[in-house]
Amino acid sequence: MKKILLVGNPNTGKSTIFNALTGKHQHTGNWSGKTVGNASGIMKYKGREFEIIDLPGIYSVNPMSEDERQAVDCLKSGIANLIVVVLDATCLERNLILASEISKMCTNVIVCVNLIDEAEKKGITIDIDKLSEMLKTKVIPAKARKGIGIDELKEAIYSSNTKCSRCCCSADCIYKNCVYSNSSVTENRDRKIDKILTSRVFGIPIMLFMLCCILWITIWGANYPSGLLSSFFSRIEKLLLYYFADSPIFVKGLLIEGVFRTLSWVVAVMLPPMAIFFPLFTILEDLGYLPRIAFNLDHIFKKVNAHSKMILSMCMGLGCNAAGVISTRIIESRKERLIAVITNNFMPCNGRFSSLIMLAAVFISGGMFASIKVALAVTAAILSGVLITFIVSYVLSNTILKGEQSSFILELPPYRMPQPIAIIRRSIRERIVYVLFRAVVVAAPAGALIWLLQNVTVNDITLLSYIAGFLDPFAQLMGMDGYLLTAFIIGLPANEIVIPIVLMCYTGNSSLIEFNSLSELGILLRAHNWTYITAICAMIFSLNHFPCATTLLTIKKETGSLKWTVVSFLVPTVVGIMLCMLANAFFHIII
Amino acid sequence: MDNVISLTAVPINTAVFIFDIKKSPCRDRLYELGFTQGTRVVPLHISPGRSATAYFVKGAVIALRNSDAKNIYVNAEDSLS
Repeated sequence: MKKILLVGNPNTGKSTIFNALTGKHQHTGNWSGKTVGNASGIMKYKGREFEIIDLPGIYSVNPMSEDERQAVDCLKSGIANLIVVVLDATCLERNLILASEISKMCTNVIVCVNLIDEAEKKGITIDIDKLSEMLKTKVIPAKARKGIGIDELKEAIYSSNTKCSRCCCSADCIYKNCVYSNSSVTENRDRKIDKILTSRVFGIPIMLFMLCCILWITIWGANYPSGLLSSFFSRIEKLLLYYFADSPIFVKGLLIEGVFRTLSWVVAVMLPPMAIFFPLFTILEDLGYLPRIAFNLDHIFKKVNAHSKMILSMCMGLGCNAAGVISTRIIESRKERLIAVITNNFMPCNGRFSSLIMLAAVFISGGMFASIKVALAVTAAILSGVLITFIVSYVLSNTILKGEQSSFILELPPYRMPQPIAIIRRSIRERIVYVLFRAVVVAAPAGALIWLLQNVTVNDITLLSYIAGFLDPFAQLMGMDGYLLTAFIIGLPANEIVIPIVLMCYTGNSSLIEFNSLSELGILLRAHNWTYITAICAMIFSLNHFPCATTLLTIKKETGSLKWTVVSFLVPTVVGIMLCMLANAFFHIII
Repeated sequence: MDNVISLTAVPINTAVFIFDIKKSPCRDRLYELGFTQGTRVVPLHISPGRSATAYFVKGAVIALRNSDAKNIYVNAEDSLS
């Protein structure tokens, strides 16, 4: 099968073209460095199959960071039968540097000029025939997001023959001959938006406001589906218990009360906030806002001696810490990359901030503005995570990861209108599949384990009571109780099962408790001697504890070192234990 | 060349042309991003903390930290043309 590489500057739409060619759903986003690993897929055209490989974006054939190294290695390995160079029509002057470099490498090349519609809007005209003549390759104009030019590209890939004709013009010369632009740089739409979003006065407040809004929509929007799912599952459980009333205890207990109930907790409590937050976040990502956050916060990263691109991996960490750790590949210096890897866990992932929402609901009772108050509490929790990230980065960069600060160079992409319907449809489907998959592989065994711990007794005391009792003195010091700490430990494989495990521990053998909104669950926790101190300490520990097993494995893979994996485990855990003890002592002495 | 200044000294929205880049670890990356001799550069925005500036260069907007941008020397007119 012929291998076709998609190569180009970062953020020129390679992944969008890849998806259009292969029908796959590779993640796309409007910022440089969204794709950090190679993805491959099969394109079928006129009865023939081609393997398409989507590479991370590169600026030249001399790599600087890990993601670029992967792309350049693949490019230079000679495995490709054809290279498709994807160019951004709005930024040809720079894109042509890479295009001319590659066409000098004497390989079979096709050039695809993407984003031609945006270029037209900006008053840029491109002479495609002239471009083709000067580059000595086939040039295909495309609007990949709208699917225009894709068929022509497929046809060009299909009919390409291996001839080698080197281009011998400089990028500047090609640009001057083929592109006519009458766009105003300083007064266009993007500059007006940037003037507000990166302004000295409004830049940072707008950022915080957006974070709070997203969280509020998530919390408010999750209430109804959560309640609905909860009553649905409780009805199913009742039915199951009715039909299996005479079955042996292991079926009734282990499978229904253990496995099924834990699964239903995970789906009812954790899935709705995750399914709502993710698309909202993707919209911001597609808009092109994330690099602006890095720009806005650069001075703080400068002070703590870390790389500003770290904010991008932190943002990715909000979705999933494992993804966050992978996205640190865009950071060129190893020292700064390690700081980003070790501190990534201070950003609560999707699974954990669903827990934070629940925990905040303990000390914020219902009422008119409950969801706004919960959103503010969770925002505060995330901001404290950011603050801890800065402090820990500062400490790391002045102790075990000392070194020169490297430069900060980041492209601010043009703002693009996201496609909300497509995003919502895709991410809800993906989230549901992802959460259900994790629920089956992680929550089901954990549910069985919890049930066994609750029902196997030694000297009339359950195993769970032994374990919780053993951990209790230490947990009390941290302002929590033994059950909660047990849940955190059992939750190592996946953070989203921590709260369901706590609920399982408390509800024990009673029937599944129905609830209408997430804040109602707070009542259950309060009934088990939870105070606002317990909830705050649990929030602190949820924010600052060991990364989940998936993230740890990813860290091991990315750093290739057991030492840094252990450090990444210990740093947040030690910080969490210390903060919990401090907070607990503080509340008990002051109040 | 008597009117050569550092890029950080250029006021916002003023077009200048690159004269030279002082040798520094990020010089190669700057070349790749299009900061080559004779290229037109326009400073567009300053970051809220005043530590970085966004520049228009070769059709793209690139944010640079001022400590890196100060190594780029520019003059008001294109010395090549």
